[in-house]
Amino acid sequence: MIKLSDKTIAAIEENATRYPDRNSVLMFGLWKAQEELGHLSPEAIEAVAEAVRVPRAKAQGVATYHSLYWKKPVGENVIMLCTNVACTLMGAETILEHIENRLGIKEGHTTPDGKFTLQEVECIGSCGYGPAMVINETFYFDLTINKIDDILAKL
Amino acid sequence: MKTINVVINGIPVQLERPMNIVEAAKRVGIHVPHFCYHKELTIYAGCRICMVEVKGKPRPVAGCSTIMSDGMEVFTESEKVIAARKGVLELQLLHHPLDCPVCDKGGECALQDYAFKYGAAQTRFIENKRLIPVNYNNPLLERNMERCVSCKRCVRICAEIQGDWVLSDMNRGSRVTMESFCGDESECVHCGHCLSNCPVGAIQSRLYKHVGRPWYVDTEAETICPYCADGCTMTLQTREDKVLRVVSDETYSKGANRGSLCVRGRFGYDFPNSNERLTTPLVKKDGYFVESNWDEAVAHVAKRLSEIKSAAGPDAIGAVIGGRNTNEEAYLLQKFMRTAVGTNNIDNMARMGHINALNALEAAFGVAGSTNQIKDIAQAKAVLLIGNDAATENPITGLAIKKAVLKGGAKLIVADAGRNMMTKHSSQRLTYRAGSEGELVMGLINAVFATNMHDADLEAKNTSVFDKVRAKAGKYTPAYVSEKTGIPAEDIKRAATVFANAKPATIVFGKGITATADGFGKSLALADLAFITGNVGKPGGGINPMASKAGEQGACDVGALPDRLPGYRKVSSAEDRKRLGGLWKSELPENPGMTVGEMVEAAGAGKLQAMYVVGANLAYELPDTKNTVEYLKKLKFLVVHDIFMSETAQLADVVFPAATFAEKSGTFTNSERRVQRIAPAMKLQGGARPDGEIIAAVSAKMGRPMDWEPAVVMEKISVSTPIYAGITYDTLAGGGVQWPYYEEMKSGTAVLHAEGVTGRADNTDAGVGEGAALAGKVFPFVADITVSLYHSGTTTRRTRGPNMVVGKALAGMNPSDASGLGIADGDTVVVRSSTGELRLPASIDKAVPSGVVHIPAHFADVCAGTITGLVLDPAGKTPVARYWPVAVTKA
Amino acid sequence: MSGLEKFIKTIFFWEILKGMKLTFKTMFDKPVTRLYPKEKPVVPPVSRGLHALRRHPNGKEMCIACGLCAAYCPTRCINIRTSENPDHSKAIDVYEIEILKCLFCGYCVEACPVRALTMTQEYELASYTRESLLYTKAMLLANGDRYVGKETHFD
Repeated sequence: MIKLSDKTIAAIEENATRYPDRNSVLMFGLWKAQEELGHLSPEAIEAVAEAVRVPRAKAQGVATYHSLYWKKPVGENVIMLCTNVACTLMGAETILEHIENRLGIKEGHTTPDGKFTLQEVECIGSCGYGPAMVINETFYFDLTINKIDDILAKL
Repeated sequence: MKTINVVINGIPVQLERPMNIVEAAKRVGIHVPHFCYHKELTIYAGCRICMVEVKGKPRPVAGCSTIMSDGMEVFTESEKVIAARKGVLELQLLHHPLDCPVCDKGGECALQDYAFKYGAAQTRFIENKRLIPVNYNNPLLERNMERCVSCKRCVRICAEIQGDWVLSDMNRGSRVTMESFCGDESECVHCGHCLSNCPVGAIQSRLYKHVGRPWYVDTEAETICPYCADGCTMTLQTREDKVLRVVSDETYSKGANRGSLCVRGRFGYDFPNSNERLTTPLVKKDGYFVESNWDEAVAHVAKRLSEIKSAAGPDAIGAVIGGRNTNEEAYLLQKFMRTAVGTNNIDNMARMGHINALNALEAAFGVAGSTNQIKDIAQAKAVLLIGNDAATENPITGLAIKKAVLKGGAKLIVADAGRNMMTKHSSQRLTYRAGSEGELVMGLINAVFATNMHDADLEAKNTSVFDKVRAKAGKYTPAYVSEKTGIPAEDIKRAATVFANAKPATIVFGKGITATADGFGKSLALADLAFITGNVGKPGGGINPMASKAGEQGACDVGALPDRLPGYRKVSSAEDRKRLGGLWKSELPENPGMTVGEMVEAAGAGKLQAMYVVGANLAYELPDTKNTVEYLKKLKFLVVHDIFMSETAQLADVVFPAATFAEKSGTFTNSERRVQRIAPAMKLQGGARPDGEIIAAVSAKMGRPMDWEPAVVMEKISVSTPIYAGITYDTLAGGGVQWPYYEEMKSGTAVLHAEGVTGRADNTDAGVGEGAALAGKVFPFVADITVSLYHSGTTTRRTRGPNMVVGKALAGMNPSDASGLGIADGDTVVVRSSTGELRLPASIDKAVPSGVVHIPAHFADVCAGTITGLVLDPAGKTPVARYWPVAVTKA
Repeated sequence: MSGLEKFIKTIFFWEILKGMKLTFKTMFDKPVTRLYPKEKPVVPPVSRGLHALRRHPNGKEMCIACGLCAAYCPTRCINIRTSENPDHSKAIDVYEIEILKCLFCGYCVEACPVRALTMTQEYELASYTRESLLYTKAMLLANGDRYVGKETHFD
């Protein structure tokens, strides 16, 4: 059984007062737990459910619904590359292939050193600046192969 | 309120309140297809098949989430609508495995029906079917998520009606599955709500799997569940005289249970099919049972009883009727004993506790029955649940309490000495020391008076009663009660405040009160608490005692009691004896007879020479098994009716094979006074006969012929039993009635004393006794002997379903107690008391309070009676055996 | 009619000859009936004779015990009992056709979703006992085996 840190619990409690229904703080709680623990293991979900006081099945339902909650351990940097229509038209597929070759992993996997996880995602709302991607919480757009190399080298 | 005029498919409809299109269409017999919508659940509007066209709206709208407004014109089968539905079905069928021929839902599946009606046979999509392995995590249910239409009705019913929230929708899109947390089904109570509510074949019963198809059903009988006293309406389906399955009302509106069932009712149905059933009358010769025939066995019984009667007098014969016999059978047995034998030695198994509650309510308000009805509890604003685990002992009452909490926002106060599964819904949990129930109740009364929260208007009218209660509760100050019960004084005050300030507030109590010492006085104190807070006679208020078996309330009502005639008329009243004697053409005995416990003791002392036991397993159900068996062996003659070779039947001289509830007619009266009919769903199995027929045959041989056909008996009951006046099988048609029945209104009485109560009916002065601590130095633990959700005794031992979930007895222990004794989960422990010992595996359960060992009361190999002694409470003569001091050691 | 004419017709049994005319005429024609059971008729392949349960080429029974044949049967002469195999598949414990009740309408064959049930040219079903006319699964499978490779009703 994982115990959430006091800080996370305090944050959940503080945010809970913002909603008319305490259940609403569940997503925030999951997010905080993911920040703290890296990913949401079943034990972590259970701990969040207990803190938010919702049934644990419901918490798992919410966690598995949203793709940005990591249910499996991820690397230090999570590369989320959009491969929807607009980005693909602008060459997202080549970029994906490039990243795969550069990191030596397939989409959905993590490098053996635990530094990168590569993930295809649905539209991230920048069809005008495609191809686009998000690494951790930083947004990158108008990607080219050179740009990718720069970005990955810096990380 | 203004009526709403709408037009549905050209038919004008008047609605007296706003409602959605699906419900409005139902009014005029139009079915709007739907998967996710259910009247009793919140609206989800996710399946999109209930699309209807509304005049003036550009697009079809969802029928379930659109509330009708005045002047609305709706078309449910227009071209546009049909096209929309076809589209939805095409998408639904995209991932459906189309395995209807082997799906057990085939023939009663909503998806099948709609696809047949609207379905596009050709799909325009080229996509692989999803492959999701069938989920067998649950011992009683299988979940085949390939067939799921993602309506989430299972998730919602589990959360909203059952209140457990075991299931949730995991993942999304086409990968969505309805699952428990990580596949852990430990929270599931196997009520089967999800099963009954699944519109397709995604959730299936593993007991019914591949066994039947809807068109195999030969007989379908609406009947009453024989297990607990909630009296649930259910439908038995049989094929070739075997129970195929139990189905419940899918609209969740019928009966006292409103369609809900628990695991015992829904999955504990196959004992009538058991091959262990008795098939012929057995007569013991030289210590061995010999198969006999009916005429011989009946003649033998009549002869032996007559011999004993003439040799030792009628009072040397006693009779007991079990908790699962119908009212008619209880009536026949008491009539047989009072006329053919001529003694009042007749008792029923409500003596194990419930009788104390009935006596107390009669003493308090003049009527020996629950003041309200089960579904009323849902209207309460506060519920005091004391000495009863409604979630396991009376699961349907538990659902009403959960509804009050989940839908009505009621405050639930759970007071119990042991484990109580309702705790997770409670706003306050009071864990008292076993034996100090009375002090707690008195403490609550004291706290109510101390802060003047009692009903002042009522006090003005009933000054003397209030003064008496006030005086009695005087010494139970919070400090004193806290010392006795181990509950902090603050908590007692808080509970009293919550209970007294909520209007209406109700009390639900059970064997944790009634089967303890001074159960009568404690029940009376609870009645006083309900009275002084002004809750009696109000819907959602009142006081609800919970009987533990289906027939207990009814057996008491029709006079299977040693001191009461039918309708609770006193045996000592010459007038009532004369009236009944006139009806039965007999002189009735005037001395009150013996209770069950007294009969067994008298058998041991040699005063009682013969016993006639119908459907009661005395050698198992009574405390102090060892001595009970010894005493029963001393009887010169013991007759037992049973469906199985029970522990008591093994001691008998003659055993008659009895019919189960699935094979006979009759009525049960549930804890809310509702008299309901059971109907036979199959032919008598083997050579079994209904108990009533056997009693009548013996009676006829002893010179007193009786009619035994249940409908005729009920007519006689309605004449001889004042509280059942006017109740016949005709008036019971359509859901039963709660006695007393009023001919002029054609209805029973849902809430007693609605016109107001005037003081105590009886001037009894019973106190709650001294709650001496049970646990001591030698026996530091208290055994809490109670039923588990999955079992209830001899019958459930022969059912497949409940045994698949819980197959053996486990001693529930608090983790701190267990670690103190070095006991780990699954270790065998020895539970020892002054009378005997039990060896059983421990189960570490943090719901069990410290100092308590939870012992189930219904497994053949682990008989809880071994560790208890036969102590009769002086007031009600009930065996005091709910809590017993024990010592626990690791084996 | 004159008396003489009547007399001649009477002595030469005219009425009888007239009646026997067809008899004499067909006496030397080819017979249209058959000397059954010495001569057996040739039954067309689509005739509705005794039922048969078919097997897959690998020998596995085709019947999935859906019960639709029993549901469709107007005389309710098909009795199926099923249970669950340890591997959760459906086991057929009993498949019986009470041929005495059967009226050979063929609805059962029509209902079969997997074409496991067919009808064969077997029509000689008379027997001395009722028991032998209760066709069990084994008997129906054996009948099916006789028709492997032959044209039957629904091939």
